[in-house]
Amino acid sequence: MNPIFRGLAIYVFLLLIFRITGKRSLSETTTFEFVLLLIISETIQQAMVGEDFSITTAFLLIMTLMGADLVLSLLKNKFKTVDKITEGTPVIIVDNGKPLQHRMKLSRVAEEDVLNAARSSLGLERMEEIKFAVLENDGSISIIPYKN
Amino acid sequence: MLFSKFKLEDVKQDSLQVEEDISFVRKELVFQRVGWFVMFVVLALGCVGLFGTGILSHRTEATANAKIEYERFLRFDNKTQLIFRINNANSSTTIGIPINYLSKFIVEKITPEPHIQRQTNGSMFYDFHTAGSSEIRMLVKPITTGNYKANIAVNRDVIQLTHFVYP
Repeated sequence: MNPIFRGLAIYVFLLLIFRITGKRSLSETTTFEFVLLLIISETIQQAMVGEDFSITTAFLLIMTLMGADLVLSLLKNKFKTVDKITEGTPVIIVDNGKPLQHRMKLSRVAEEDVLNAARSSLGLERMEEIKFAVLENDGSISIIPYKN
Repeated sequence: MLFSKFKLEDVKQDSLQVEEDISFVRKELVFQRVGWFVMFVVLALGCVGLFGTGILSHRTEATANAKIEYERFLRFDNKTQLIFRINNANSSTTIGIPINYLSKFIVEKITPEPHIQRQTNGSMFYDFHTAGSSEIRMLVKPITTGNYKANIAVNRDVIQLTHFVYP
């Protein structure tokens, strides 16, 4: 198959699989997840390049991937819906110190994850000190504390 | 019905400037669950050989005197074996493979090696020294994708193979 089509197929597939598995998948890079990411990238590299190690193919693939990303970013900028479909939207998971259980469960976020984010980013000690916690599009958790 | 399982709490606040769209989040969650289901179905089908190497893929086509074992589903650029089993072979066995089939594969290895290889009437004929029950293996690698059929001649018998090669 033409390397450009291979690159595009891989790009679309990755976009789809990361949307299906959700924001929380591979969002925290533990040692295991880091190794998993390396294995995924190695698998993709072999499928895209095959036995063709020419510099032309490398140039074409890099341009394909960067071009696809550029087009997607332009579309996201122009159409809000494309942005939502490809990135998702942030979700509030703690409201005035109260964990929103359904939202957290369905988004696969545990209370401990929120407390962990609160401790590491702001040094907060308890859930009641959190005004809002938001699950961001990249899978990270933002903590907004009460203002003293 | 699936949507009713994805009830999310309402949050009434206006201090935090965040573009939350909870109806979209619900659709996203449903899409994800459907996606998980499809992913595991694809994996299960992969385990049983829908994408090659498994019971759905392994085929045996036989006549009274010969049998061919092969994989119905192949993957592009991935080697596979065609195993010919010949009963009560004479001193010589001939296998004829159409050229248009061979144009879609690279024949990497034939065991045992044929003593003669010739091309006649659009087919490549391989002649082997054989005696009794014999087994001939061909290691081939698909170089195009898609569905194709071939009539393989084993001595006087003709056996049809069907492959689907995934990209």
